[in-house]
Amino acid sequence: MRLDPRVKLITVCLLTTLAVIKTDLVNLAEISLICLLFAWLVKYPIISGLLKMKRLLATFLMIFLLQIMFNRSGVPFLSVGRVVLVTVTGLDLGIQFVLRMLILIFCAGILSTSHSRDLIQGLVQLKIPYVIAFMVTIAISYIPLLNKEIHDTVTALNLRGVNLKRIAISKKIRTFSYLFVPVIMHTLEQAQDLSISLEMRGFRLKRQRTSWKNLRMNAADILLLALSGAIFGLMLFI
Amino acid sequence: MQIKLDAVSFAYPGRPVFEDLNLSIDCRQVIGLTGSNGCGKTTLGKLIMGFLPPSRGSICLDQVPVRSIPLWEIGRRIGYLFQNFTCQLFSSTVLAELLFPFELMNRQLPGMEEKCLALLQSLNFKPNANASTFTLSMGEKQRLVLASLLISQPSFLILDEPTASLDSRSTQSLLEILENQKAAGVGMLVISHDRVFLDALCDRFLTIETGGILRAT
Repeated sequence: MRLDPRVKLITVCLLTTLAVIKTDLVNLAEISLICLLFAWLVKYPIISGLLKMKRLLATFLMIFLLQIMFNRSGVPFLSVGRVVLVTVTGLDLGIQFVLRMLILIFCAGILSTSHSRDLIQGLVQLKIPYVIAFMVTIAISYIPLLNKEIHDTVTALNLRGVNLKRIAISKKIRTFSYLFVPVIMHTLEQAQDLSISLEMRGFRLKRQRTSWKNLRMNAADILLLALSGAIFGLMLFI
Repeated sequence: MQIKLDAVSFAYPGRPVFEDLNLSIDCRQVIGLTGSNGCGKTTLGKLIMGFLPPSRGSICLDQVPVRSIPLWEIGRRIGYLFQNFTCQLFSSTVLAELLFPFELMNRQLPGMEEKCLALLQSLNFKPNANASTFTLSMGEKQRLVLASLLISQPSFLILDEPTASLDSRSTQSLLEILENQKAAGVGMLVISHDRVFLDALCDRFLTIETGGILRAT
């Protein structure tokens, strides 16, 4: 279903707000399900999207395990003899974390189904200043480039004979500085070049901008927006 | 050391680059690789290094599939100079740039610092060893990256467009450095459009033609 970018932006904003406010597992599961349905509705490739984030999902799993292992408060959930292995609070917090992260992933996926130009236009028509809307979209479109930059830096570091897996723990922190200093330096250089190019092309030269594209909501957009608002209102006061 | 590409095919999504490519490189040779923009010169270098997996065929380094060798081990045998070599600088000072991999891997031998300084001198590297890497000129940065590759004493170098960002004086200086390496028995695959530079340095020339056909020239 082709939806107006503004519907996606507002719905994602409402759902992520709910994900932050709500602490009840049933509510968080409901929000996750709504996100999943919405992602399916806007034709986000859910399975391949999740497969692309395998590493991130593995990190979530690890944080979940750490959460349930080290949270000692609350009623015991699993114990061996007198030793409490998992508490209900630990399990609850762990599941809350995983569900919140899933909601964020689905929301990012929903937004990725719109072209960045449409997202800027959506933000502008929502009365967000163009400069801010443009910066947000540029920042989003630079994430894959940043990813490539980190990948190239790790490759270059490996090629210097550094086996990242075999570095002593005491030297691990220093290794991060070797990785992030060049990445940050190159990113800053790119940002500087980009800002100069933008200025040279007349960015912010005139206060008022016109656009060749004007987004219009249709009945389905309005219906979905109303539904999102109703869900937000209901869940907020339940 | 020998690099062997056997019936290698490779394609980027929607764009085939190589089809059944065969190539054997004796790592004592100095080979110049030319071809038009986008024909796959850099891709060939990346395939040899194992950065990219071939869709078909095999690439072996001394009869061992290159993809099964960890990158840090390949890096000790083959020095790779990226086209954008600035991503190969990690430290804030010149000497630290050469020493840090040895420190990290606990491989620092006595006299390492002197060895680094001697290498920098042999590369005609003018700035002080404690100079900041961020303030070096492009030519100096490239020479420092070369030094960082040579300090591990690789037996082969792959240089991707080494003259692209250099002026004629720096190009001449680079040529002298590479000629010295050649005389010391280090083989090279030099990817470049600069035919004059390649003619002065290489013993064998390869050209990638449209459709990924490799031709000896």
